[in-house]
Amino acid sequence: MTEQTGAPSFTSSPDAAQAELGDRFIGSLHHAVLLFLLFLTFFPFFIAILTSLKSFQQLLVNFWLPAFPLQLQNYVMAWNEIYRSIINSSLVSIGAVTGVLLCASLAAYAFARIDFAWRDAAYYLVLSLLMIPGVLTLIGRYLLIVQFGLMNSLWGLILPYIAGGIAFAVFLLTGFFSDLPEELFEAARMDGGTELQMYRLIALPLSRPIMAIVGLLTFLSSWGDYVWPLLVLRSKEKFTLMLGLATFTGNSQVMFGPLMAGYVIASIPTAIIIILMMRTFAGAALVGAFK
Amino acid sequence: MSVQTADAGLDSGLWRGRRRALRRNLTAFLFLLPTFLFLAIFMYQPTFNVIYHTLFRWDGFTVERFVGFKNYITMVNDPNMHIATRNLGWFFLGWMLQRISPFLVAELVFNLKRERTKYWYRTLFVLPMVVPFLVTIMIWKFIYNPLPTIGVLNRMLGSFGLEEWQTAWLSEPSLVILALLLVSFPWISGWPFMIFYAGLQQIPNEVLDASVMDGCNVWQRMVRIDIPLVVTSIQLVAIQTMIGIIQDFAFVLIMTAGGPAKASLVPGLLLFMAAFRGDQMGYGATIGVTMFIAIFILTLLSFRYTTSPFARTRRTRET
Repeated sequence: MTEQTGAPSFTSSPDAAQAELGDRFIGSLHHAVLLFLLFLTFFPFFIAILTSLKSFQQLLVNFWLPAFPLQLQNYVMAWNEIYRSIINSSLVSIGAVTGVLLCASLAAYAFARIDFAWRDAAYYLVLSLLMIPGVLTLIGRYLLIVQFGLMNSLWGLILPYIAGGIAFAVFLLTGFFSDLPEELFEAARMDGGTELQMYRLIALPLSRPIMAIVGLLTFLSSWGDYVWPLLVLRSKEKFTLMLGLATFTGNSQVMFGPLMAGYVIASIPTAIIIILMMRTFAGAALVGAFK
Repeated sequence: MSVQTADAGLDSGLWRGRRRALRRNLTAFLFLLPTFLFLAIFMYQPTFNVIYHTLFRWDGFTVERFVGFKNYITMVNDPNMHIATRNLGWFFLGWMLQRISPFLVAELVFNLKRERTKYWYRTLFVLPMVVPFLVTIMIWKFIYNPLPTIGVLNRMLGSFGLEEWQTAWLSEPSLVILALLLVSFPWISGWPFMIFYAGLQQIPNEVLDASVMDGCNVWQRMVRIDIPLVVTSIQLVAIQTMIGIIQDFAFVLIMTAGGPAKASLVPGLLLFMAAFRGDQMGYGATIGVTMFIAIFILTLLSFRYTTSPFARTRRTRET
């Protein structure tokens, strides 16, 4: 406690005793404010979880507290409604993550490690895309998807997501690849290694944390997107999770229990992935990437 | 080594060097090929296509008539655009405050004394990030539900005996923007908090110790030391927020679809409506290009006053 204030404490003098009392008061106020903010932060999610376990009658009678018996069938109902869209979303996200990681890591390797003609120009050509807002390309991409006959197809999501994620991924990965020590590559070159081998055997294994971050970002943005699937997908069995949840809302006015259960289920995959990433290697680097 | 062989060696070396350079270019080309294929098809082509078609009256597919800058003139005089721009201004102010305010909470946590308590607060504050943003929005739609018995906020007011305050929060033109800005109050969980906290952690311990020695109180330290040292984090958050605000309309689309009666309309939503609900692709494209120009100018302006991320990459690439 004295560590932060640093001042030597003279507990014998009445002045200091008063100061300590003041410190105590400030300290508990400090915690009270933080706890209150935590409470406010979690409040909507508490309510959502509580409501997900109630029938409409229970909700009307007992709004703020858990009501028994717990209505676990809300979850069954929600699951039946959205499991198809969870599968679709998973397929789309896996496709997008794989595509972005593969393309961007190859390109970033070339930018960082191969000295080729027009390198800077090509690099800025990619980077300049970071300035292009998604809303500008929305119309153009929509027309392309129509022309390619990819309407109402999951490929109509995956391919644009890959293109949309590449620029930032190249930016992050190029920075990382150029920081790898040159000696490693020099040694491999001496042994007659090709660039592809060096990419696969040196650059990729050393860049797992940053690859994980790029993967996570791509995953989250494709998983949580709403507008693009709304434009591309038409039939219900193709809907992604966010679209499925949004249409689930429209069904009925009194299905708040199953609806909230759907929200809880929808949060589980992202929760698992983010917590896994935080617990393993990526947590620290994740913050580093955003600085 | 005789002169002759050295000469031959130099010659073949030059030849070999050139061949190696050619090979390097070819390898690099193959490495870049997939990326540029994707970018050419799904980024460059749509961008230029859209910019080009702002000069046309266009439904996207068949009818195409050159109208010059008429779309831009229509946009400047469009009353919907005026409303949308004014609303965007309010959202802009509100969301900026929202995204910067976690700095104060980061300070509160950072100034705690025990490392363990700090860790727990930090973790708990960012924990709600695991919930997809859209799900959070939908939960808030439930909070704002107009029914006095169902809407969380209305029900809460009811239990405090404030029945006359109960209202349809998202259908009240004078309240809707405020209600939208209050979504996910107190706005702590998210990237800004993490970025700010990481920024505070980067401040060298010696500096903090020295401030204590000099009898600096917490407030003075925050203003004189912390803010100047984490100013790049704050700027980063501000730029990201700015770019995000101008173009993101999914939030408004889900909460109110711009309503009631355009009271929460934003330019992105206007683009969406014009292009995909009204077959005016050319006009939608015009709004898109205008938004792009606005973002571009704002980004350039903010780069003038910050350390540019582009400069940073250049430095790392040269080393």
